[in-house]
Amino acid sequence: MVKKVSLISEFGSNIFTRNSISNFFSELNLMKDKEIVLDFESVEFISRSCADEYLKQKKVSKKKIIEANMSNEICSMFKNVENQYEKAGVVVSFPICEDRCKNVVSV
Amino acid sequence: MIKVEFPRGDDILEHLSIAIKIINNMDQEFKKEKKISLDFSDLEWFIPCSMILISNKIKEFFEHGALEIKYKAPVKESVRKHMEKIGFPLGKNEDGDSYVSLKHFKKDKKDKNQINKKVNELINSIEGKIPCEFGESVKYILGELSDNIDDHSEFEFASLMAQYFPTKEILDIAVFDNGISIPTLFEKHKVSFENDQDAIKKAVWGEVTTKEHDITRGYGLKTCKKLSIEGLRGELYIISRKGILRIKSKDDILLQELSGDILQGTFIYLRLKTPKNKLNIYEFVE
Repeated sequence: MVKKVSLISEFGSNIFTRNSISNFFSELNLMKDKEIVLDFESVEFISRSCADEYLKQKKVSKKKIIEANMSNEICSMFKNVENQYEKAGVVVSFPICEDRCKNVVSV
Repeated sequence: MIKVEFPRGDDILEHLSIAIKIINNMDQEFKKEKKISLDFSDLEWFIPCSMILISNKIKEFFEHGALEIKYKAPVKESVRKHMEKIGFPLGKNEDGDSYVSLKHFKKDKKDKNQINKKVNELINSIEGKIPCEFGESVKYILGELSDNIDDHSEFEFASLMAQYFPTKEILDIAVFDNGISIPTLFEKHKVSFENDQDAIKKAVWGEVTTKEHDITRGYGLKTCKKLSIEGLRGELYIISRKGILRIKSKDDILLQELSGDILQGTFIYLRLKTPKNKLNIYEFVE
């Protein structure tokens, strides 16, 4: 059993600020579930700053975070940040842009 | 009574300089008696970006216990109606077909999602009013600007407005926060700079970041500049404390100091041209 969290409910269709991402991960890290699926369904845009913050928060979180239903636009922004990380010599785990939402229940 | 009058013409810097002088006069008046009187009666012309500064100041005074704020409306009917249309002086919820009226909001320290929500509302309103050729560029620019306000500015009030001019095919966006300003932020973090306009330049060119140990930071304003100037063939104006940066193109860059006045906070104004084809932002952001 995996917990699924809908990001459109948390942020609306666009994710713009680092503080909203860091606040979200603070709440996520308090959940009892060890594995969490973040559902990007209907999320249209994530800012470059937020994609950067998301990756940093994910790296330090003790949860296993799985992304699902990321649109091409969302994937493009993460890819953009990935390229910047590579240029800066930083290695970090990047979301895979495919639906990995199996055996999940909404709580 | 403080006279409010702007010259004819579209010289944005000239209008902004006058607006800053006016709000400094308002501050001095308010300190004496917590009362303000503004005289717009002879106002025949204004650029909306100048009103956002005056409007934000009025909002701030209300919050700080103003005993009285009054103003004489413009005699010229078209000017009076335009002021009402954009929501002067206190902002309004309703927007028009081609514009997002003045919006003000006060920092809610308990709500870390506040800015995210506000910008989502703004974007939802703007998107129906501008051509699809802008692609994700407006979201990108507003996203990075709003993140800077949220992360750095320590603002009390923020204001924004936007207007699309269909005939000229231009989108104007104005964002103002009355926070600590870019130069003050740099001083706080012991980032060195020659003068206030140099501080703005360093921020916009991505030469420094206040998060010096985080090498993936410092991209926000830099990429906004590239996207708005090169991608959207636009103009960018930033005024913060005493510094002014104006970019009209890659080769037309002005850095100067406000003469005799200070802006408490940071004002950003963009004039963006509608692209001929749908813009791919990734050609312009690193």
